[in-house]
Order: sequence, then structure tokens, then C-alpha cells
Amino acid sequence: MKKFFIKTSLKKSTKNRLRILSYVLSLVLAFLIQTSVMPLIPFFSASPNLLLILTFSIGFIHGSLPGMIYGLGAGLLMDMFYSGAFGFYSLIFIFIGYLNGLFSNVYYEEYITLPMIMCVINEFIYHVYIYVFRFLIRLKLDLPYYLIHVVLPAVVFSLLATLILYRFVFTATEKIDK
Amino acid sequence: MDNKKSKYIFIVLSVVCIMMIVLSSVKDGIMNPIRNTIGYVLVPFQKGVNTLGFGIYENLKEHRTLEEVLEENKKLNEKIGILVEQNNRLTQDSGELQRLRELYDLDRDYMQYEKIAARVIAKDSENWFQVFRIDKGSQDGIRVDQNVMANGGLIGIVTDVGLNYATVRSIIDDESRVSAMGIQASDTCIVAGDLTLYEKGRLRITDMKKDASIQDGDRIVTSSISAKFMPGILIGYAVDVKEDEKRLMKDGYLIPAADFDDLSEVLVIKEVKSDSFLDENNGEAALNRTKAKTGDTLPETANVTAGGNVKSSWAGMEGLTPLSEVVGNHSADTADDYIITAKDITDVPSVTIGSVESEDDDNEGNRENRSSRSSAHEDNAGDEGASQSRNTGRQEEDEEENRETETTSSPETDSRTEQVSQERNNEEETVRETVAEEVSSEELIEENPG
Repeated sequence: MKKFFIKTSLKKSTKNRLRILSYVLSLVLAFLIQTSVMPLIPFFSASPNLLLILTFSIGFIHGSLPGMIYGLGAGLLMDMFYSGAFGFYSLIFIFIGYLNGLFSNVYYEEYITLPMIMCVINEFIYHVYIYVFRFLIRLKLDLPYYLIHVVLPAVVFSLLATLILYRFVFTATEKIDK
Repeated sequence: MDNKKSKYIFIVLSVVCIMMIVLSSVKDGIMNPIRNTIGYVLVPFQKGVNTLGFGIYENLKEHRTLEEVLEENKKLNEKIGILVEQNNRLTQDSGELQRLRELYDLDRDYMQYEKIAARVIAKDSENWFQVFRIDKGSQDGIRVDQNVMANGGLIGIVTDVGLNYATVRSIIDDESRVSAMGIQASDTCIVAGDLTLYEKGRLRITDMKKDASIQDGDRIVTSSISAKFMPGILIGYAVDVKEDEKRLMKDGYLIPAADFDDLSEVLVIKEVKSDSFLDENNGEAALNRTKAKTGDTLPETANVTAGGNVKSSWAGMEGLTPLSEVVGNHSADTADDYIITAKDITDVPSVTIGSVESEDDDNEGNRENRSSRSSAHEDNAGDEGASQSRNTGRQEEDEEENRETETTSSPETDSRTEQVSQERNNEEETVRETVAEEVSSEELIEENPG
């Protein structure tokens, strides 16, 4: 990835390096906040999935390839955290990064409604994925309960976080581009 | 062009991921080196961020109003009163227990496992799973399958260990299943986490036999037949125990003893259950374990047998239990893979003897009382700590009453008293059973150590 950018344009190399560095930092920071700080806050019945939001924001703004690579990083971090099958989270994060990259051609600056809609859809895909592969296969069929108590709070909090984080990714991109 | 390329990359990455999923689920622990490396780098950060966040939160918490503190003080004072009373009683009991242990050559206290304290540094942020990470790893002696406790109750089990971290799955996780038993009657059951009950702060109790005598408010501890959990760790208190729809088994709910909302420090038990399986081959540990299992029925029996030679009666009583009969009865109505334990065998005779010998008409009425009591318990579910202590208090009263009146049981006393009195009536039978149980359970363990 890095090499590729350096080869294509020498001028852009420092810019891209900065971009990659800031994204790696944001990835690690988001992971740390999500796992170590969010659960401490008692009035949060669910905490927003920051990694998911960052993944789809980057996919949406920069296209499929960066989205996928960011998704891979986020997914690997999640896989490190859990002791289940390795690659479970990587797969869904890569998918979400790729999927949102496909919509990057309809990306307009300063336009927040579409990212919000994307956020809801992405959260939904993500939770359905977890439900099907971790709960439905154990014949836990109480779907309405899960929808109301798990998916809904997660979507609401993620929407709030998207408002902030999407703007953050957006301004970060702008600043680096300057 | 670019689109096509990313499409190929997407397909390649997905295939790699799926291969990794298959590989890691077929072969456990294959990814551990990678997990260790990343964990080694990230855990110090996690620790730092967590400590920072915790510090800020604690700081905020300090600024509470005087009223709240006064209210809490009042509550705590009440609690102290209860605890002092309980402590007095327990001190007496522990003296007795010590004597009995010596009598039975039980040199080990089974509740006193060696523990390592650890700090919770990360939690799953989503509601799907109840998994958390602690800041101690293999370099501190943490191993997979070690049990984790907090506030005197079982919290979970270590599922994954890195060099300086370990992942713990709590018992309230939807995938968690713990083999458990009632401390009073030691009927086995399964305590399963359930996401739909999580918000009510409850767990599900399933697979309890229909004639199991677990009642509302009973302490539920980890079973001695569990493959992964050390025996005798308190899990919580049973509530709403009733027959299931099919009327084959009983199920109910469990209020955990530990507080899962406010987890910051946990204790990890150093010993792993599979260690004791290794010991069992020597035979010595197996004998000890079966004795520990019968530990809760011992106090009653020991009064009679104090000074008497148990071992001599052992051989003589062996034939008394209709072992084959009981086993035959049970295998008919239980699930095919259900293992019949020594507990199951003892339960049946004690029930039949009780109803035959005492011939109390109140027996039926008491059962009804019990169900009405269960509804009362549900109301008290919030302050189960208090209700529990009240419960034990009553038990004590009952026992004292019994000591005075010896064998005559008054109709007013509740079913629990009756149970006690029956036990006292049939002290000799209980001895025989305990002895038989020891023999049979030993056999069972030898047969299937898993």
C-alpha cells in the first residue's frame, strides 16, 4: 500500500504517509476507547461501535480499497480481543469497508444524511451477521427481543457517534489534503 | 479498472478470512502467537486508558450528595447488624465443621482455593457478548479454564490466555453453561447465561430433575461433576423454580451472587479442574472429593456417628441402598446422555423414607406453601441478600426448635423444618445413605472420569 503510493507519485508520498499514520493511530485509539473506556460509563446501555463507524466512513470517503484495508485492521483487532474463531470480525469489517467503497462515487462533501443512512444499514448488517452466526446457529430464536435490546440501542448510539466521527474523518482528510 | 482491482482484492481477502475461520475453529490455539504479539503491545495501552478512565469516573463518583451517603450509611449499618449475627453463628459452625473435618480426614477446605487478583482492563462494548479482559496472563500463572470469582461469587471462566492478558467469558454470556447443584440437597442442574434475561440480572437454571428439592432462595454452587468448574463456588440464588412445560424436568432462574455491572477487580482461582482429574488416577483425590461432596449432609449424620467408626458401617451398609432399582428408575425418564450421579441416588431414598416414616399430612400442604412462598420471594428478588439472611435465620430458629422438641414436629413449622426433623428422625438412614453414596460415587467417578 505504502509502496504503491510512493511509486505513483513522489509528491503525494509524504501526504499519504501522514494519512496512513493518522489512520493507524485512529484505529488503535478507537479500539482502546471502545474496549477500555466505554464500558466504564454506566449510563450507556450500549456503546457505539467506533471501529465500524471509522471503517465505513473511510470506505465511503476514500473508496473500496482503503475501506477494505482499514476494515481488515479493525477486524483483526476485534479478532485479537475475542477468543472465538479467528477471522470472524475481519470478514465482516472487510465486507463493510468494501460495500461502502462502492458508494464513494455518490459522495458529496458536507452531505451528512447519506452517511447517517449508511450507518443504520451497516449497523444492521453487522448485527444480523453476529446474530445469525453466533445465536441463530444455537437456535436462539427470540429475534424481537434482540432487535429491541441489542440492535436498537447500538444503532442509536452509533448514529450519535457517526455525527462526530464522520466529521472528524472528513476534516482530517481535508487538512491532510491541504 | 480500480473498481475491478478492489473487487479481486475483496474476494481474496474474504477467502483468506473464511479459511482462517475454518482453520482456527478446527485447530484451537493456532492463532495464539499472533494474538500474543498484538496483546503484548496493546495491553499496556489498554491498562493505561482503563486506569485513566476509571480514575476520572471515580473522581466524579466522589462528588455525591450528603443525603446519598447518609442513606448508604444507614443501609450499611443494617447490613453490619445482620452480618455480625451471621458471623457469630458461622463461627460456631466453623468450630463444629473443623471437628467434623478432622473426623472425616478432610484436611482440605474446599472453599479456600488459592487465587490471583486481577484487574478488568477491557470489556466487550456490544451487548451481544459478555466477555472481558484481565491484566494478568500466562506469565502470572493464568491458564485456560481457570475459574474467575468476584464478590464471593462465580464470575466466569478463562477462555484465552496471552502472555500478559487473559480473556474471560462471564457466566451471564449467552454461550455460558455451568454445571451446578443446590447446596442444601445437591441436586444437579445447569446454570445457563441468557441474553434475554441479562437486563433483569438473571440466569436460567435448566436440566433440573423433576424430583429435585431445590427451592426458591436456595444457594446454587458449582457442581462437583462439572468438567471445568471447581466444586463449591457460589453462583447465586435460585428463584421461580417450577416444572417445565413438558413436566419432565424443572427449571427456574438464578440471581447471581456477584455484581456484574461494577466489575473492576476479579480473583482467578489458580487450580484448574482438570488437575484434579489427573489426581483421581491415584484414587486418593477421588475419595476426598466424594467426601467433600457429601459434606453438606455430614453435620446431621455426624451427631450420631461421633466417635463411631464410619468405615466399619460402610462395608455393612453397602447392600442397603437399592442402587440398581434407583438407577433403573431414573434412566427411564431422563435424557439419554444424562449421567446418574451419587446425588441422584441419595435423593430418592430420602424422599421416600421421609413420606413413609413421618406420615405427616402436612406434607401436601407444605408443598403448596412452598409455591406461595416462591411468589413472595420474587417480590424480594431485589434485596435477595436480606431475604437470604432472613431465610438462614429462620432455618436456624427451626433447627433450634428441633433440638428442643427432638423428634416431634409441630404442624406450624414450614417444610424446611420438616425436612430437618425428618432428617433427624432418620439419622441412621442418612448415615447409611451417605456411606452408600460414597461408595457408589467413587465407583461412578472411576468409571467415567470425564
